[in-house]
Amino acid sequence: MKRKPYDPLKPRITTLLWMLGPAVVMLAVYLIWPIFQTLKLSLYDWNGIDRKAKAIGFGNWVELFHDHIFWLSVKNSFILLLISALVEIPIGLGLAILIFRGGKRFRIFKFGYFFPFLMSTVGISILFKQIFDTNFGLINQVLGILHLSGLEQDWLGNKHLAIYTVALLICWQYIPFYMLLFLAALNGISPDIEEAAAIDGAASWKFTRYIQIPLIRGAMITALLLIVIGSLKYFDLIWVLTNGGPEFSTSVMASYLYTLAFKNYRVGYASTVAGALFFIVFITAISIGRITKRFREV
Amino acid sequence: MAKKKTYGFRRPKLSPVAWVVAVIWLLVAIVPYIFMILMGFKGSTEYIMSPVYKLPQHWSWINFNAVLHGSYFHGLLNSLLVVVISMFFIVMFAASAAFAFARLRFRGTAILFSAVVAALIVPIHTTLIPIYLLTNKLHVYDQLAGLIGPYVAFAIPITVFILTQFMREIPKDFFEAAIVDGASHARVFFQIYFPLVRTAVVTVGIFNAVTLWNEFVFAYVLTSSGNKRTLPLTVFDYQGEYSSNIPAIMAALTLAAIPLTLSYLIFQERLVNGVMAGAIKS
Repeated sequence: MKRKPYDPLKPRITTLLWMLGPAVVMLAVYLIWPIFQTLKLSLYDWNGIDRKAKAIGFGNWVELFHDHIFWLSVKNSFILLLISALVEIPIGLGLAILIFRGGKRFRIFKFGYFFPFLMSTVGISILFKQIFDTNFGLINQVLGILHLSGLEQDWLGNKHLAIYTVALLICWQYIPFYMLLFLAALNGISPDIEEAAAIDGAASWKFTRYIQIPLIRGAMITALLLIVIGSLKYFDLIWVLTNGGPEFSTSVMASYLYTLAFKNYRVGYASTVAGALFFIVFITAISIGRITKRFREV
Repeated sequence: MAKKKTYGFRRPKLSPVAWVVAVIWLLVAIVPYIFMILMGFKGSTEYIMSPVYKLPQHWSWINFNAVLHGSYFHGLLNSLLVVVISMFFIVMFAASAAFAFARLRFRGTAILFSAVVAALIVPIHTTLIPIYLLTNKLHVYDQLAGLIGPYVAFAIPITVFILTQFMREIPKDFFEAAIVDGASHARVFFQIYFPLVRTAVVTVGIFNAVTLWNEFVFAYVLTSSGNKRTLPLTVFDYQGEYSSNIPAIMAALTLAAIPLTLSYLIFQERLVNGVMAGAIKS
């Protein structure tokens, strides 16, 4: 047998192993294997403590289909998604254009808008739990001195309102992020285009409407993608703020599976919810990728 | 660098409306933060007895002192330790993998790379129960070491993705010339590619550091005792313990926000770019 000629550009197998090995092993152990383990556990009835778990086939999945709390959690995720997309993108874009136009004069605003990012999500949730408090909360007391007591609410305790309060807080937290994303995109537009438009005497609103906004479509699609995936994975903020309550009215898939696994000791069924979360995120991501690919290419 | 030319659109005459809107949003963004700091100075009865929007009557450091003498520094140290150790492994593992993806030819490059990128969307919570069980089995439950595995693993996809893109931008000639001159692949990676992408390493490093600094769910599930908690969990436990003393909670929140706030005041744009790294390169 003829030996292949020695090619110095071709890596040795040992080189490949130490360069790729650690990353691949970490992903295999902490991401890939757990997904299969979750899917396996979803077929068992197990409290997480007993030595033996009872195999029950697709029993958990059947239960999931009839579990109105699960469907409520899915619905809540989509409410958060919809509100986030409809509020964060327009306001983020508006603020980005404002800061762009303000230029140096608005530096101080740009500096201040980032402040929500200096706290952890846990910190934000603990802080706003106080701000939304019915009696001692800043919002209700300020409404009181403005003689708007009629608008005072039990922001987090009212089961019809709580999910919207959560959505409001999510928007507050993430608007600066999308503003900065859009601002970076606006600043990325070539000055030549700006110059050409200026020489042609375009009005500034026309410049924004017909040049800037179309040119940062890519950033808007990125924002939409991040919102969609992020909304389906919500946990920290909701868990600290409401625990998913009252009466599961702010429950999302992640908080529901946490409650099931670590509070109710229904590890098998919690794994079913976790598996469903995985499938929903995956399918959503793929379909969005497909849909937006066309828009990116245009 | 030559000064960037700007044209009319960056400085049109700003209408008063623009100023008003800008100021309103500034208030929306920073009032909660200021409220948090101010309330930390109140007494616990004062907070309940007088309107919350009033400034503290007697400014007192008592709450801050209590937090500082409690678990604050322990949490701070734990967080620092976990973040620094995780960051070391993230950078080493991800940069070498990125180099292999960017420059080495081997069978299955494309498939493996798309698998790593696909891992970006795996929800943490899907893996939570198996990782909890695994952590117990490895006898690292309630130990800081138990956090490092998941932290490193979940940071790898985004880090590999970003660094691969940067390494692909370095001309291939560098690689080929060095190899022809007799350098090993390892040497090309350590002495040419890694130093050339160090700005990207710093940026994505900041992103990971901030994310891990604020991480909640793994720390919540994989640790339980007070002296093993990271900073976000220290604050979380604190609010459970002192639920009736709201100013004390506010003081704890303020102190917990100091490290990032200080970094922002010092590094400004660099911190912002780091936080945005995940979004902009994708």
